[in-house]
Amino acid sequence: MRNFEGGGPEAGIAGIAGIAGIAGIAGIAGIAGIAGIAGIAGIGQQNPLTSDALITNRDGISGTPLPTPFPVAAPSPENAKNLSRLSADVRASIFDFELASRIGFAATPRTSNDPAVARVFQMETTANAGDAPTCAYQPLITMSEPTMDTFQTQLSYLFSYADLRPDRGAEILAQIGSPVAFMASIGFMDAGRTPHTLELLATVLRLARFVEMRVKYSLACKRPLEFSPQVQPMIPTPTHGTLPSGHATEAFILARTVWKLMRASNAPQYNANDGVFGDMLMRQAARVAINRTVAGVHFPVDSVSGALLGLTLADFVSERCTYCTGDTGQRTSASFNGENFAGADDFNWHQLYTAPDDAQVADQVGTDGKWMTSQTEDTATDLTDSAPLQWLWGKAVKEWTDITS
Amino acid sequence: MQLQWKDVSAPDVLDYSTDYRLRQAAMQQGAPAQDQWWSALVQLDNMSLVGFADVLQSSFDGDAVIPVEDLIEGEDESDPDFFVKIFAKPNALKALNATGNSLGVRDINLGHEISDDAAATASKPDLVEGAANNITVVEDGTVTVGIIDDGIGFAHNLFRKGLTETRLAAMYIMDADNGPNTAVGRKLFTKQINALMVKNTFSGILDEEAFYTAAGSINYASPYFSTTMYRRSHGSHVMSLAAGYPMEDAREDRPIVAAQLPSAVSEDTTGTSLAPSLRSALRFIKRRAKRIRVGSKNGPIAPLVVNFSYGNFNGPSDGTSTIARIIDHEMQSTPEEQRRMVMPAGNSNLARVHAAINFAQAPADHDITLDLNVMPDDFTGTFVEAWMPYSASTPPPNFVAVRVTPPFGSTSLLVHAQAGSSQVLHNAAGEQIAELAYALEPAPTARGVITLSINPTFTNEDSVHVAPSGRWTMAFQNNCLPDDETVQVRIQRDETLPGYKTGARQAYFNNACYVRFNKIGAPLPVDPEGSDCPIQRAGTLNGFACGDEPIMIGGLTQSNGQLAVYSSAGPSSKARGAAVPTRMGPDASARSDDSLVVYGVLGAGTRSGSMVHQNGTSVAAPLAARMVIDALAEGEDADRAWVAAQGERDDSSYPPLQPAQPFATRTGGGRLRLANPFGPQPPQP
Repeated sequence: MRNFEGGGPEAGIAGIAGIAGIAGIAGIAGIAGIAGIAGIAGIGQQNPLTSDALITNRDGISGTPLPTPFPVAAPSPENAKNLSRLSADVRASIFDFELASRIGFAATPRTSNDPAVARVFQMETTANAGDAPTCAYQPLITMSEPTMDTFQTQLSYLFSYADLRPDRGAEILAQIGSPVAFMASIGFMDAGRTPHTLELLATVLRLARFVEMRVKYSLACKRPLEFSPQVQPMIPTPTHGTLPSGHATEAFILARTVWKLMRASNAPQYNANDGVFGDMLMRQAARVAINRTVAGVHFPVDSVSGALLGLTLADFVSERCTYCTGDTGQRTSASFNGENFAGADDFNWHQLYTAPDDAQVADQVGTDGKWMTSQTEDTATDLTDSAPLQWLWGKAVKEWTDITS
Repeated sequence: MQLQWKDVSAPDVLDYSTDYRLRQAAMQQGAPAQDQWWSALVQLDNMSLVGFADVLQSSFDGDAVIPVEDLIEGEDESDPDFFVKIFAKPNALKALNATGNSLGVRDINLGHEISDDAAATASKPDLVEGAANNITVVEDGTVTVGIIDDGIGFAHNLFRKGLTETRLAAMYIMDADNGPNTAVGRKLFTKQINALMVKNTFSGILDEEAFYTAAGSINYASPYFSTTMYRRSHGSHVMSLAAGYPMEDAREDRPIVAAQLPSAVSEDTTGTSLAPSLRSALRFIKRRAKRIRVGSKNGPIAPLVVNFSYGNFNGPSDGTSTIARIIDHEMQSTPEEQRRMVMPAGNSNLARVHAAINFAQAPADHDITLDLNVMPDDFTGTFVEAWMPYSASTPPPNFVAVRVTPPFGSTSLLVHAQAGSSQVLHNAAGEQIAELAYALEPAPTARGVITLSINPTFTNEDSVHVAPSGRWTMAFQNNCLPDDETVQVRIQRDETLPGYKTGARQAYFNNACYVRFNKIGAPLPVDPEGSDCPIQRAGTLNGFACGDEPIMIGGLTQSNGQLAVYSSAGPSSKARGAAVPTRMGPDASARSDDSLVVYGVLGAGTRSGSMVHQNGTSVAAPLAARMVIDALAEGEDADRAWVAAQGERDDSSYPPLQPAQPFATRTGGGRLRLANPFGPQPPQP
């Protein structure tokens, strides 16, 4: 994706792209679709050598100017149907605008009494007859830093999970970039079969990265190897902060988005067996997140906060993609209170989410207090919707619907 | 490196190994070693259990206790194989190990290090097991399967009869943290296992990470280690071969009782720390098996078959080691309880860890020398034991003497097979790095042993004094060894098992006379005919399994019917006063590799649905156990003789062994033809 070139969940190690096949987004292209689509777009783009040929070619055949203009119909403005005629990277910019322009941010510095807090907002707008829309920032995710004691306590997890490196080494290396291939081993995805799903997943990954990096930057939590010389990660530690885990954010936004598409398709296999596809996607996401602890670059609490962020963002995206002006929408927000998360606790995604009903858990109380809340509320009915995102979502859902006749 | 031997008197103790290990711990850990708890087994001399408990109480002020689990009513305290398990600190252990102590102890066998929490809870009654007092009524033809192993993935679908229904009657995770009940680890019974499964099942699939964390099998929050963490573990694989059935074809008539040994015991391949844990495991399995009854609550106890796929390289190898005696004592059948024990022959056939010293063909005054290759980067000690033959005279004759030359340095003085004879090797700083000492292993072994103990060759700790790696030589001088007797020299097993991190590396004998390969360069699986090389494949049988009870199984490659090159060879040593070795070889041999290309046999990984390959006689044993289980269910004797006869019957279906080899020492009664329950079925003969 041209507009995010060199970007991946761990851009800090872009320098060793050779080892990693870097980056979430490149990874997407790798597995699938986006490169494929770019390839098709490539038919229209040309080899520079062709230009000289076209100059002499035109000289040879175009003839003198024709006397009358041709009848050309006016374009159709603000029409989502135009999207299918755009190259994938152009569409990506439009989708990114539709999502990123709705994100707000505020940070509260640490004080002697309170931890540093990063707040991400979702902006809701109301159309205002051609003038500037009326907008209101609603909460999306609130994240406060854990105590240094919590990180210190969590070091013991780094040491015991390190025992799994011989078992998980291949997975860890394969997951340095995007884990789309691992999701595609559960949900049937391929550039030929599900190009729009892959385009949607690339879109949600870019949003995840956009948000997670701002939060990481704000909280600036230190990485495990800064706490002990014995962690000795098996891969380079990215330069950005440890909490929330970008891999957890990305794995969970992918898992939940695929699961939402499956549910929306009404295909019987995805809705049978008590939601086992959803559970398996979440297991996969959790394994990706935990593998980062095995590798020695993340604390379990990073995965907890990252998973919460990813799950919440997935709901935000699906709402933006499906809301139509006139409807009552749903607004999900969540809060992670790091100072209340007990260092002795491991990451357990079941505490955050139940797959069969695609619902986030309302709250969690541990030995040190309430460390997570989430809520879903109704929105107003007159909010602005996003036709480009509706287009993308609709195309993606159709890729999961069974062909019956 | 300036190395120097010192002449010192060997410690006057009941058990040399216990004394040496405590001295090493004190040297390496300094003062904190004095507060370390250990498990141990002791044998009493004209002393009752109750009397001994009083002695411990009055003599050691709380530094030695008898765990409640070991206080069993109705034990015959006069039985020569009656052992008492204790938890004790070094001061108490040393006193109990003193020759001629007045504490009523005639032998002691040190186990492994015990946590303070476990020692503190040792006297608490085990209410969990006490409450699990139901009798399970089963149908005729039911056989209980006992498994003792490491990392047992007991939630694997091959051990379930439904989504949240286990086939295990009981699971004992011996070193799991259990808070107020830590001395006994974690014991789970059918109801608890099923409840844990229900709690950790989401959308119809069991979350096994969550299940094993809740069960105490894995604990990422602590340094606790178990191979259940990995996708492949020895215990899961072995249990599936003995008692695994697909969930849709689950067998109600094959209930399982499993004990997972402490990881610290499993990783110590020397086997010296095993005895106390093994005894507890066997007793747990027996107690639970007694609650599985045929027909009615007062019906007969279903027969029990225990598989224990562990082995060692050293010891007297004549059936009188502590482990062999514990197994014989605990696993003997009674009229009420039919019991069978199945164990592997061992994988050390080509390990070059056994030598036999005999001077019949040697010129007069000629020493026999063994070259011992001690590995670099070995984080654990190397131990070589030279076992004298039995003699009825007291003290036994001074059969041979040994002197040792390290890679760089002087030769020791002779250490004789005589009480007190000892030499200690010091480095330039005057720190001990090796020891050569004689000790008499008391009855029923009643044989002398000269032990060479060499420190680790690498360390990251200032307190460990490393010994040089490379070629050490041991020269044996004949004092009065009869021409028809041998001194059996064995190197202790010293390996790092897959997944563990001990840093152990196996030393081996490396005399030029040992022929490793045949004419076309393949490993030679048998000693060349007429070879006078002291280093022998013969005599490498698993020392744990040399007693009377175990059905011992060698390994073969199924596709060509040849014995696996690693499958250990008999005979064992001669026990006290016996004219012939305790065992000539295994009782039979069975599949341990599907083919030379497809190594190993498919069995359970740790997580449901996963299958992995593993090979070795550890695999052959549970496959044979499965056969024994089925045969017992059908009313056959299924004892050692029966298994040997089965082997003899099946053997004719295989091509002849190449090379033709001393048949009984490696194959036993014959080659069994056993299906791989989860792999390709064997071609019909």
